[in-house]
Amino acid sequence: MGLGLRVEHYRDFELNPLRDLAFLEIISENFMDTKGRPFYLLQQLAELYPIHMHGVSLSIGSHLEIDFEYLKKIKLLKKSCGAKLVSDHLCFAQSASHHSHALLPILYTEENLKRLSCKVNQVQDFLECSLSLENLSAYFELKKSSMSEAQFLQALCRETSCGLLLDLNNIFINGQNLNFDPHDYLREIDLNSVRAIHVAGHLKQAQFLFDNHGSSVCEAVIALLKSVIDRQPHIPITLERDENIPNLQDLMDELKSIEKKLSHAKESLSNE
Amino acid sequence: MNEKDFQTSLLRYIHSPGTGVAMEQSLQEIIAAIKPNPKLSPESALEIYQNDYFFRHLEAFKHFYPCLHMLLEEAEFQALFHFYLQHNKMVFSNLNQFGENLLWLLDHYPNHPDVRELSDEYPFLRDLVNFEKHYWDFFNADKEAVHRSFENEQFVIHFKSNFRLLGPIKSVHHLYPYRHKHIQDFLIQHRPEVLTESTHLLFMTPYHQTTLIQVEKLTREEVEIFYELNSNPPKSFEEFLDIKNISSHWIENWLPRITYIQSKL
Repeated sequence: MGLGLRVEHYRDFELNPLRDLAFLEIISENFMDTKGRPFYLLQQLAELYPIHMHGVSLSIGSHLEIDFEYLKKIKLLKKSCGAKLVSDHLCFAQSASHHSHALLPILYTEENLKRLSCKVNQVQDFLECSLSLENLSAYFELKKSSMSEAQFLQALCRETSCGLLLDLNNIFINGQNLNFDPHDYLREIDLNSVRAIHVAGHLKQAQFLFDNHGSSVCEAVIALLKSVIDRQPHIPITLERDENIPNLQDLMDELKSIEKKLSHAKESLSNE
Repeated sequence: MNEKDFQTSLLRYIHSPGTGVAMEQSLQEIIAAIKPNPKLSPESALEIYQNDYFFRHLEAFKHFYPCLHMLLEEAEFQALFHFYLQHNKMVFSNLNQFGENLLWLLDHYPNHPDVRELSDEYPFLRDLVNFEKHYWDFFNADKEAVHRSFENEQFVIHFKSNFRLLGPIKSVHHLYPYRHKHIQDFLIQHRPEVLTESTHLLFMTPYHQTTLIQVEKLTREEVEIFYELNSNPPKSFEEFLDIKNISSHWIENWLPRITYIQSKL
């Protein structure tokens, strides 16, 4: 398992870069316009760990042209840290002049599939690598969609050979908020196209679940993780935390605890 | 409504809901495009995105201006944030850069009621904003250039003349009257063992035409480094690196703030 690197833990990694981690995932934008402390820490860590780059500003689902200036920075960053995975979200997030930093759902139709396939191919050609796209936590669906998010992502993977970054917390949240069974969602996914998995915590509100990455991963999400790992055991798993960020040791303890639960599940499967 | 128009309307609504007939019509069109959901109405879903947008940017603003947040406390800080959100176009793909335009906005709108009120209450507001912006500039500055500046200069530690080290405080605002005390006086009067983990540092430093102000909590190890620097000033960079507990983090975090090195970058 790997961890999402956050600024709160820079000092821990500077003092002791060697941790028991399979890889580190970075938020690409936090390392794009810097030659300072983040850049040098990343150089150091890239010597020790495979790096996964996870972006939030590609906005592939928007009706704007692809921002090649942004992609140039992504490409440069990938080269400098030798990233093993480059990902972003299947969403729209910006207008012509404004980055909203919100990840908003798109229309899942054949027409959009063609439009996005073309854009994903352009991005992959430019980056000279495969792009992985993450499923969203979304609080609404659009009436005119003719397929589910899972079907759309799967079709996009088939059309473009892009990868899927499967966020299990998002699937669980959406299942609760949008009224579907997360296991049905997973059944629609060809796990061969999954390049990485995200797990995180969420906030339970009176009427809905909110995706805040602000607490430990809940048991229901761990159960989804087990069901995926049973079918495809070698997918890299990232533990994400963006709010109420604990100290690094506590986060490492959570990561170890998830690993333990997964290995118990594997043992009981092999005993059966 | 086609998807392109939907995206434009939705983003506009999330960024600034506003009121009026045009906005109400746009809201109805957005709602009409959303699939009915017994668990979460379209109105509730839009409210989630609006709140998320607001709080996500508020957190980024706090991250950019920790001292300003400590100084103004929550209500005044949020008022300033509202002003910033209304007047600043979010052009950065990196959310960590979100606060970068505040100084420009303060200078551009000096007579805006929110700005004028805060400036009257905190005469050093602009200086503090300027300092925190410079902190991030240094955070992202090319470290090679920093190292080159060490190599090119004879390395001498000079505390900036108005650097202060103070005991525990409740509010940054209370520190302001102490600005005329000097760190050396404080270090002579107090031994490290009397300082607790909650020691705060305040310094005000002339920088171009303005004054930089910074307040930050220190650990015991960091306080001891200041004592060591004060009692046995290192004569070379190598001697400096030999100081007990010195780390790359300390160098990057503190050295530019307490020595003349920054002015040579």
